Amino acid sequence: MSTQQNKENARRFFLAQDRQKGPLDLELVASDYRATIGSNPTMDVAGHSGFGVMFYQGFPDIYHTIDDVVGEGEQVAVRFTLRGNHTGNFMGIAATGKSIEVGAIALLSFREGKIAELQAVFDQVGLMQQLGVMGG
Amino acid sequence: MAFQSPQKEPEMNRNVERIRQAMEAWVGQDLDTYRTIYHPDAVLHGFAPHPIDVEGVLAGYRAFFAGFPDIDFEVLDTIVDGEKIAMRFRVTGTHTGEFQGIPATGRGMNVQGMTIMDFRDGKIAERWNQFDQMSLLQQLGVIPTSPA
Repeated sequence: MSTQQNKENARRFFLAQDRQKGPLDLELVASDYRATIGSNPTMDVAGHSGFGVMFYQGFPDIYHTIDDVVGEGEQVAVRFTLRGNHTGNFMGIAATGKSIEVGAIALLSFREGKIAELQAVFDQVGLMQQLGVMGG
Repeated sequence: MAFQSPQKEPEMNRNVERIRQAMEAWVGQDLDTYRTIYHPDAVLHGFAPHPIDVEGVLAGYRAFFAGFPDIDFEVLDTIVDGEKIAMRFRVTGTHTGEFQGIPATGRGMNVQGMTIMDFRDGKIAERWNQFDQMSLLQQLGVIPTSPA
């Protein structure tokens, strides 16, 4: 797969989560896919899909804006912003009605055209501060 | 300090080499040398709720050096795409000094981050950073491991 194709698939990966409200696009990920997001334990396909669903339950209108895609060979970095309104229960936090805007950078490693690994850091502290559950 | 230099064309590697030198200075806590990797009017995102300038970032690094005098830095992945470089990195150190109002705990820090740097004429003009601050606060025992 060309770098360009991997960059396009990296973009599609996040937009598919918006379309499916959390679950991953199985066409784009390897069967042994692994995701490590911030301080959370490493997840497999089902785990990451469930993690996604949790976000879309808490923020039903949440969506990714892809801000930048940087790729070389089998590795692609994606910078994106998540925006939405906290109108559902999120990790035990009852709906606050607050709108959130959270930045993230993810590094996707491809193997034979499929995403084999995702490592991401998002502004988890900023999210908690915007929800008013953490000081700062 | 460890820095895995990828096998790439020498011209493509020039900015990577500049970062390597800058990070060598950073680990040596020599911010006067480190700052030369940036254009004076560089814009840096992700260090605060709003974009900040180089002075702001250096102030943040001074706070880290004070809190973690043995601080070290390791590059885990490097992606070069034209004038942009993305990196995944790890920062380690021991919390033996006051850090952002938190008295020394003696605990170890092992935190990852992602950064994207946009070069112009061999210096960083704009940078976007995501540092896993949640893990840092958990490791220092400031917040519990399960926030929910």
